Parts: sequence; structure tokens; C-alpha cells
Amino acid sequence: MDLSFIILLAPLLAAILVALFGNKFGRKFSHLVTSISVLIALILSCVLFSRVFIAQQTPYYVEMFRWLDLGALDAMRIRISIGVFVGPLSTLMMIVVCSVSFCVHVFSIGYMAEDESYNRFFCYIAFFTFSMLVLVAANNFLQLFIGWEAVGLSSYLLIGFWFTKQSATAASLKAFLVNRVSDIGLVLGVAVVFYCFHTFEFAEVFAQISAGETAKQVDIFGYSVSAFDAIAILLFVGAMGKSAQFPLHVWLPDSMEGPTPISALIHAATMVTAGVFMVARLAPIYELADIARSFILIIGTITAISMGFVAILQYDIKRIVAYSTISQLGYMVIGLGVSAYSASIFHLVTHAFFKALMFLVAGAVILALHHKQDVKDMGGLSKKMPISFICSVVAALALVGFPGTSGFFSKELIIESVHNSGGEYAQLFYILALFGVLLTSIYSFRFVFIVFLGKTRLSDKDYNHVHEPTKSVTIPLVLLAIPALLSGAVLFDSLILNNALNISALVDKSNPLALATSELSGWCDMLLSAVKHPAALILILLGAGIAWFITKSAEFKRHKQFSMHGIVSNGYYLNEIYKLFIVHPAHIIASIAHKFFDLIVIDKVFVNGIAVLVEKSSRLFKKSQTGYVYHYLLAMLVFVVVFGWLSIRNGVAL
Amino acid sequence: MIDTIIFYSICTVTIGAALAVITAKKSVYAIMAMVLTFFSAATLWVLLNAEFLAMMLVVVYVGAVMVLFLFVVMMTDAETVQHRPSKLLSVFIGVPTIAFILELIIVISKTDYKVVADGAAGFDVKAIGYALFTEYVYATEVAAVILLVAIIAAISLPGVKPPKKIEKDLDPNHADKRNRLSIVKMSSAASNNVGSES
Amino acid sequence: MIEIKDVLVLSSILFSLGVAGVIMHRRNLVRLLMCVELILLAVNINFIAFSNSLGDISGQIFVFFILTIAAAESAVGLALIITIYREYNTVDLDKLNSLKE
Repeated sequence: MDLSFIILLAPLLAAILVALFGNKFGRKFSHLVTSISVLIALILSCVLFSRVFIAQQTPYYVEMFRWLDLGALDAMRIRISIGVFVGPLSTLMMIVVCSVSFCVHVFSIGYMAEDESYNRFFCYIAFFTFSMLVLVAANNFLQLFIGWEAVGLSSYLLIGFWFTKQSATAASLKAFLVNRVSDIGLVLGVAVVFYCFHTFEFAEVFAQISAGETAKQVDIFGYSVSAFDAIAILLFVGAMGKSAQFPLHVWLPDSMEGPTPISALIHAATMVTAGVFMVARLAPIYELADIARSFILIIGTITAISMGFVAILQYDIKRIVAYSTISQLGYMVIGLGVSAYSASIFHLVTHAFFKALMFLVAGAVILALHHKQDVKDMGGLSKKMPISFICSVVAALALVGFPGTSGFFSKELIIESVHNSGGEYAQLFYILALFGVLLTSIYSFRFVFIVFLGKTRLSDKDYNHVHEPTKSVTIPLVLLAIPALLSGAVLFDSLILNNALNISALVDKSNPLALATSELSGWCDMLLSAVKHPAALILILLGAGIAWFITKSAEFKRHKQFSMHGIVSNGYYLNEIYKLFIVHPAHIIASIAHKFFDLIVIDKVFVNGIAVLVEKSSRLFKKSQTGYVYHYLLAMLVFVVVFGWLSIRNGVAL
Repeated sequence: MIDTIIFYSICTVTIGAALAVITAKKSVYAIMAMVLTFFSAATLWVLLNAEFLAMMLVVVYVGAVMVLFLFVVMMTDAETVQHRPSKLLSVFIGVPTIAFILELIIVISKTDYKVVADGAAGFDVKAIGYALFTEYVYATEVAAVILLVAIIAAISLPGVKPPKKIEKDLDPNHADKRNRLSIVKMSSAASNNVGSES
Repeated sequence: MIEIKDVLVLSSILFSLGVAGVIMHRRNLVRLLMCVELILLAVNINFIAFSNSLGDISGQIFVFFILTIAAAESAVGLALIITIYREYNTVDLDKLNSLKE
């Protein structure tokens, strides 16, 4: 019996236990049960990881139960099962999910200590961990979809966790609706996959591709297009919502209404990377979809650059981090766009650690300042909160990709892959990606400077009260700071050079990632190359300088509306555009539907009309139901006579 | 020839008697008409070589069941129940009934019935008894049990008296002290204390 | 010689009269039961006629059983009528409507 299914069941069981008995056994029970279950999942996923990575076991699939048996199509039985796929990519994701989730659990013990809905929080967060594990353990499209929707659900529940706050419920609804829009793409993509390949299994689709099924066409609105392009773009539309790519990113900044640990876990480390994970998991399909990859590259670049600008001009501590998350997701998507799947996953892993760290630092600051989130009221906290300060510096260095930190390896790989992608506009995208590094550097260091350095803008009384929060808050920070610093160097050799994810083997030989790493023999070489090609390093230092300048000269005055500054700081008015062109017409249509269709057609004609009709007709027919047997007998006699006469007239054989 | 004449006259009597059963003004007359119907039917059965059953019909129905009916009519208010249907209802009943009879006659006349034996052999009591206690022995037993149940039901049902819900008459003129005052024996706290001390 | 069709016509007339009687005497329980007896008699005549023409004793056996059951039914039915009369002082079906009200 394989133990891998316990990874899925432990968080689910914990969530159910807390949901049922949380209020009975109290807070200690809630956080102990959920944390221990996630710890169990973490240990088990480490075991699986060592099996797959160190012992080089071939990937295998553990079926938990057979969900559907749909009969045979084209001599292939279509069976849908729920289970755990133990492959390199899945186990790596499991470790990321479980470790970040564990840190967040521990962090939340301190962070949520004063919250009334403590037990509900832990129930949700454990359920989220379960859903995310279902997603990454998927071996077929339907399980992927289940996990996809389940993480969406838990995200919705957790954004709207403080449901008495109007803005929180609005944000949760927005997140849910925007994700529904993109999920349509995902569902259609899965449908096209089934239409073309007659299967839901990843492995069978890949087998058909490697068997030479590379020229499938599908008709869409009468145009015959490559099936792979259609599938890839449709699935990527799903990923755009989940991974907050421009222009469907609008829900992510608003989702910061949720508790900060949630922002760290769901909206930085795990759920938002689900789209990147999916594309990497389905790399063989994307490798055959050139148009789709160009599309992905463009979307990723737009996201990375435009959201970087927005991040610079934010004043809400969480929104700064949120926009930087979107921008980093843009980098991952750029990597996918140039077929550097391993590099994207690498960046996903390192980003999960340092961005979760950054969010938790923000959470610690918010906690220390009694839920103040405006950076205009911060500054000079480094003396009062040294651990948080050091951790934020670590996170910022990793985020900008300072040589040696984890972010350096992953981001540098993506940029080098763009450089080597050899497309027509490869150099343009390369320059844009480098420019993104400058932006990243500015907003990351601005975050550190504005919050922790300089003169404090707090009142003296408040400032004196600021202190480092409890241990359960600081320990996760330290725990996350270690992989944020070191995971790059540790994972670089096995993940990239030894190609442990085994994605590139499925794809083209002239992979830009392979070209970028062809001259490297270890992570030390990578460090040396940063010195040899110091463009990125120079940009980072330049960005730090600009950030210092911005913070120093920060006058924090209100800017005029519709200036360039105003446009960027408001996120390009995308929310307003959506409101004008989508939400507003939808409201009009809805009010028409309400007034005419619902009130008149449905209510008056159908609902009340049918009720009145039934009442009137039953009053009529009631008279026939006298309750006297002789009436019924008489009716019977009459009808026997009538039908007897009919049958005699028609000469029914007697 | 004589058979045919007898048959048709029996038919006439039977139908007339049956008509009388349903149209008679009084229930007692209806029962008398019913007796006549059964008698003529028994005659018919004799013509159809079923002498034993004809005897059974007379003994059981005329002798027992009809007498029972007569008693019931006399014991209840069956005579007083108004049973004349209105004119409209008579038409509603009469027209379909006549139509139904006509249809049945058409169906019967159109159907070709095969005739195997012409009753020459006939069945005597011995043959019936033999069939009853060999081939149909279980059915006979069940019928016997049903008869037993019917006997028990017929005896016990009218014997069950419904609980009369008549209040005990509390006429103040005839009430004595037992109707007005009741002395209940109760343990008092004092006696309990005494008991515990002793 | 008795034609089987003639007997069948006779029994069908008796049957129809029985049905008409049930409808007519809807209020009087006793006469309703009598009309049911009339219907049963029509059925019995049919059985006897077919038994005679087919030379099969089963028909007569059936009539035997029907007579038995019909006697039992009349006995129980009449007993019920007596019981009802004792409870409600009437056998008028129109007045026996306590379930309806």
C-alpha cells in the first residue's frame, strides 16, 4: 500500500475534524490538528520527493478510487479516477505547497490569535491545502479541474473571511467572478482535449502526441485551426485568471482584503501559481502550439512590466506585495512562453518561498502596528523589529535576484532563456525582461526602505509600543528565510542541469533553456556568469538607488487624477474600464431581465399564472370527484360503452 | 323443441325477475324478486346439466342468504331509505346500460364459440366431489377456512358494542354526597416527620 | 337444444342489470349487496354454460367456489350492515359520511 494518498487525506481529515469539532475542543485543538496534518503531508511528500529525485524512481500513479466509468470510445475505456501522481513536478509542487502551508499555519497561530473565527480559519486553510494537493497530484484533466475549482472556492471563502466587512465580501465576489470568466476557457480547453484525443488522462494524451498525432485540426466558428493552439490558448485563458495575468489580474490586489497569512499562502505562493504549474505539466501540448506560446510570451511581458510600474506607486503595504506577485507571475509566464518550463517551475518554487516570506513580513508589520496597512504611517521599524527587518531584506534580495539568493538563479535563467529563444523579437523581449528587473528592484527596495528605514512617521507613543510579535510569528519567518536564500543554489543542479523535471525531454531539443545552460556545470558557474554579464546586477543596484531616492524625497502628497502617475497608481483604471464596459451593461441587462423577464414573464405568467391555472382547473375538476362510488361506476360504464362501440365499429378482432 | 321453449320462458322469467329486483319499490319485494331470479337460474342450470349446483343455489342462496337479507331488511331502516333515482339519473343509467347490453349482444353474436361436448355426458355429484378433493383440494381447504372466518365475523361483528360515550347523569336533584365530595387520603409533612422520628 | 350464445346473452343482460342496480341503489346498502349478488349470478351462469359446452368440469368447480365465497361475502357484508346500523341508526350511504367531514 502506497502512503502517498495520505498526503491528500490528512489535510482533508483535519479540515473535517475542525469543522465538526473545532468549536467544541477549542483553539488549541484546531491549530494542532491542522498543523500536524500538514506536517505529516510535508514529511510524506519529502519521502516521495526523495524517491523520485534521489532514487530516480520512474513516475507512477496511485489510484485512490475510481470516480467515473464512462464506457468505451474508440476501443478505449474512459475511466476517471482520483489519485496521486508521483512524478518529479508533482512532488516538487507538493513540497512547496506543504512547506509554505505549514509555515503559514504556524504563523496564523500568532496572527489570528485575537480573531473570533479562529477555528473556521484553520478549517478553511486546511481545506485549501487539500484542494491544492488534489490539483498538483492530478493525472487527468478532470481531477485537475476539481482541484482548480476547489482552490478557487477556498480562495473565495478566505478572501471573504471577514465577511462583515463590505469590502471583503465584494473582493471575494470579484475574485470568484473573474475566475469564473477564465474557468470557461479551462473547461472549453478540456472539452477540446477530449474531442481531439478521446481521453482525459495526461499520459495518454502525451502518448498520442509522441506517437505522431501532431497535426490535429479543429473547427472553431468555421475556421480550421491547429488543435494544439486551440487547446493551449483555451487552457491558458484559465491560467490567466488563476495566475492573475493581465487583463484578468484585477481580482488579486483586491484579494488582499483577506487575512495576511492567506495572501501569503494562496495569493502569493501556491494557488496563483497553479496556472504556471498546469502549463508546465502540459508542456508537450504547449510545445506544439507556437501561436499560443507567442501569446503567452506577450501576456507575460505585459503583466511583468505594467504591474511592476503599478507596484512602485502603491501605498498599501499588502498591495505593494500583491502587485509584485503579479509581476513575478508575469516572469514565470514569460518563461513558459519561451519553452523554458523548468526555469518557470524553478522560479515558481523560489518565488513561493521568498514571496510568502515577504507577505509574512508584511503580516508581522501589520500585526505590530495593530492592523495599519498604509506605508505612509510606517518607517524606521528596523530598530523595533530586527528579525522582520532582516527577513524582509532577504526576501527583497531574493525578489530582485541578487546574485547568490534563490531568486537570482531562477529569474536569471528565465531572462537568459528569453535571450536565447531566437525568435524574431527575442531581443525586444530580452530588453523588456531586463527592464522588469529594474522595476522589481525599485519596488522591492522601496518596500524595505519605506517600511523599515528612515525616520518613523508614527507618533512617538505608537512607535514606542511597536515590538516584535510572538514566536509563532517570527519562527515561520526564519523558517522561510532559509529556503528563500538557499533553495536556488540547492535546486539549481538537479532541477536545471540534470533536468530532473524531465519536461525538456518531451519538448524540442533546441530549447532556449538548454542553450542558456549549456556552458554551465554547476551553480557556481551561474554565479560567475552574473559577474561576467553584470547587466542585471547593475540594474538591481540602480533600482536600489532609485528606490532610496524615491523614499528620501517622498513627500506623499496627493497626486492629480489623470496624470501619468494617477493612471499607473490606479492600476491603469482597469477596474473602471471593466465597470464601464462589462459591469455596467451587465447591470442594465440584469435590471431589464429583472423587471421584464423575472417580474412579468416568470412571476406573473409562469409562477402565478400556473398557480392560478391549477387552482381554477382543480376547482373545475373537483366537481367530478364526488366521492360517490356510483359516479365512478357510471363513468366507467359510459366509457366501456364508448370504447366498446369504437372497437366494434373499427372491427377489432374478437 | 320443448327444451327451447322451456329455455326461452326461463329466460323471460329470469330477466323479468332481475328487472324487478332493481326496480322494486320496497326492499322486501326486491328480495322476493331475487328469490324468483335464483329459482329460475337454478332451473336453467338444470337444463345445462348442472343439477348439483342448481340444488346448491336453491339451498344456499334461497334458503340461507336471502333469508338473511330479509332479516337484515327487517332489522334496519333499509325500507325507509329513499331509493327512487331522479328522471335525469334514470336516463343516465338506462341509456348506457341498454347500449352496453346491445354491444355485448353484438360481440357475442360475432364471436365463434367452439362446442366440444354437447352436455350429453354431464357431471354427477360424484365427479364434482372427486374433482374437489383431488385436483382442487387446496382451494377447497382455503374456501373452508374463508367460510369459517365468515362465520366468526358474522357472529362477532354485530356483537361488538361500540363504547357508549354517555356522561353519567349528574342531576343535582338526585346527587348524593358521593357525587359532590371526595375524600382523598394524603400523606402530610407532619406525619412524615413523626414517622422519621420514631 | 340450448345455444350457448343465448345463455351468454342472458347472462350479459343480468350483468348489465346488476351494474345498473348498483348505480341506482347507491344509498341503500342492502339492495346494493343484492345487485352485487345479481352480477355474481350472471358470472356463474357463464361458467355453467361453458362448462357444459366444453365438457370441462372446472367450470362447475369454479361456480362452487364462487357460491362459497359469495355466501361468505354476503354474511360478512350483512353483519357489517347490522354493525353500522347499530352505530349510526341508519344504512343510508348518503348519511354515512363522517370520513368526509
